[in-house]
Amino acid sequence: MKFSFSPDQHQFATGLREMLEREFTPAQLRNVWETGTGRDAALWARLADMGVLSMMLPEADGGMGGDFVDTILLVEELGRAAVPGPVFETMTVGALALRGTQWAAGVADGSVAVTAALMGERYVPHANVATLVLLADHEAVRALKVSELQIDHVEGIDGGRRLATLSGTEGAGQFLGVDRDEATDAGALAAAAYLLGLSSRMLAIAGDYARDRRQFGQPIGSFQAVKHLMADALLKVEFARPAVYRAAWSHATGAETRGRDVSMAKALTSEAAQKAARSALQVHGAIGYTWECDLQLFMKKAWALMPAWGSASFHRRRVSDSVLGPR
Amino acid sequence: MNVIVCVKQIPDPASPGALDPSTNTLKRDGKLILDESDSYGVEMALQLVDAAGGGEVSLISMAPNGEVSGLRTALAMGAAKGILISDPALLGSDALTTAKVLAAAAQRIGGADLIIAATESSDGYTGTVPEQMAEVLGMASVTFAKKVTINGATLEAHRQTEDGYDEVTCQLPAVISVTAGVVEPRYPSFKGIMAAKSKPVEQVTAADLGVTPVGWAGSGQAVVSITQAEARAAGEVIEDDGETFTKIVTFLENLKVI
Repeated sequence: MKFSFSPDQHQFATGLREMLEREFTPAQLRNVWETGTGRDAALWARLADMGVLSMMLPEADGGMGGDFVDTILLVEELGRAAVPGPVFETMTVGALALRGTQWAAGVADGSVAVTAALMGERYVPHANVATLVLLADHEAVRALKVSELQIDHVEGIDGGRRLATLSGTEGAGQFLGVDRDEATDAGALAAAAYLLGLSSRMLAIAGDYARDRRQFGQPIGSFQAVKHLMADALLKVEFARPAVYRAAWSHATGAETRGRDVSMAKALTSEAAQKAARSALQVHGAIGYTWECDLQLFMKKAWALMPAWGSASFHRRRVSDSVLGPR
Repeated sequence: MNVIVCVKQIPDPASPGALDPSTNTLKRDGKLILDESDSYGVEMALQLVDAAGGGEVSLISMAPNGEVSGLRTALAMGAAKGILISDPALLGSDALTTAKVLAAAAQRIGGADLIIAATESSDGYTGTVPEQMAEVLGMASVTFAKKVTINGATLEAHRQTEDGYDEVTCQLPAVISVTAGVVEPRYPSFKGIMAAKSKPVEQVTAADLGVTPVGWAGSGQAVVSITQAEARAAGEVIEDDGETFTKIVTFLENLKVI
């Protein structure tokens, strides 16, 4: 058995990273936040053209027929660029839930954006830019057209993930063939991979700053206290990484341990992102809080995603239940 | 309409290049990638074939060690097939030999209505191969094209000059060199990348093409010496006396920026 990604999987991820580095700079991300749109339509079209959005859709629906192992590095790259809008929701939860439906082709061509609130969330993310919202009904999942619901916007911290309350959802929508657990695990796993990308980016930004910023006549990165701060954060991030990849494999192969592995991944990445954000902010000092500093765009996104799709403590409980049995 | 694009596979500019002290030329023994300046030609070819409503884009490339990764990138963008000329005997070839080899490869493909190249490669900068190819093939040559339209059997191009552009026309078939920025190269889609693996790339030698390699010894050009690039000068500091903008305007005018 081979425990590594294939050259194709690496090539797709590298291609996506190069595209995002060129076509979606922090300045463009900031623009999405400042204009309040919550998503970049041109970028969304590019992601559709490349095949990023349709990686997990079956070929019969115009997709690439990939699984979570094919997709996980892509989501990580999307996180590294803090791509706004319901991108990981659409390409993982959306693709899984909508396969074989009238909406599948729209996911592939970029015309259908999918958000989800399957864990009883009070505030639904991305409702302002989504075509469909997936809601849970006991163990089932239904798709509702956002245009047929009433949306009331709520102020949140992440300008690339705008929040709203929805009304008019009672009894509406179409039931889908995916079960709630599988869809929720997909969302939590994708959020974990996205957080992994975000964390790496925050550490990269802090590293650049530590090499550049000078105090007492030398770069602050040369001080041991700063080095330790960064090294501890990197340790958390790199320890979370294999757990994410393992969970992707478990999801792709339908392993019995899927729920436990996904929970381990989400718990570890939420904690790693917390540590990365905290350390990156500390390295920057007060300037890290300012609107003008790129770090804040990634940090706030991390803060918003850490509790989303189940917080670290929720997922730790789930891991513990899987080992000790429910309490 | 059939278009051939000459693509060069070069050492990745992201990793520092090294010169071979014995030949004063760039070491090309590592992994090679598609020269970015050629991606504009590939994109233009794809757009012209699309606009013509039929035909295909073929690639020709000369590279050491049977390297195809750059060709695969261009195939992933949408080109249909390619010829790779890889032959140790071609090592040290001068620009003219390269042009003869590429011209012979173009004929092996069966010719084309249009042959596109970049104005120069990003690793060699000779900037003469497209014109030499046109001469070898007896075709019209248009250089520095920044906009190209095909009208029946006539090619119309905006030819970049220092001050703006000239409008030039010529009859097809022709060899043109296109400037960077002429079009926006597409990113290969995942499906394109997968499809590119099964697209045909014929690997041939100089002998297959009937070209006699001249190698280092017979090369009409040689790199006589190399020196360090001059360090960037400190620049001019202008104290603002309220009228500084006129100096800036004059400076930019001298650069022909405005």
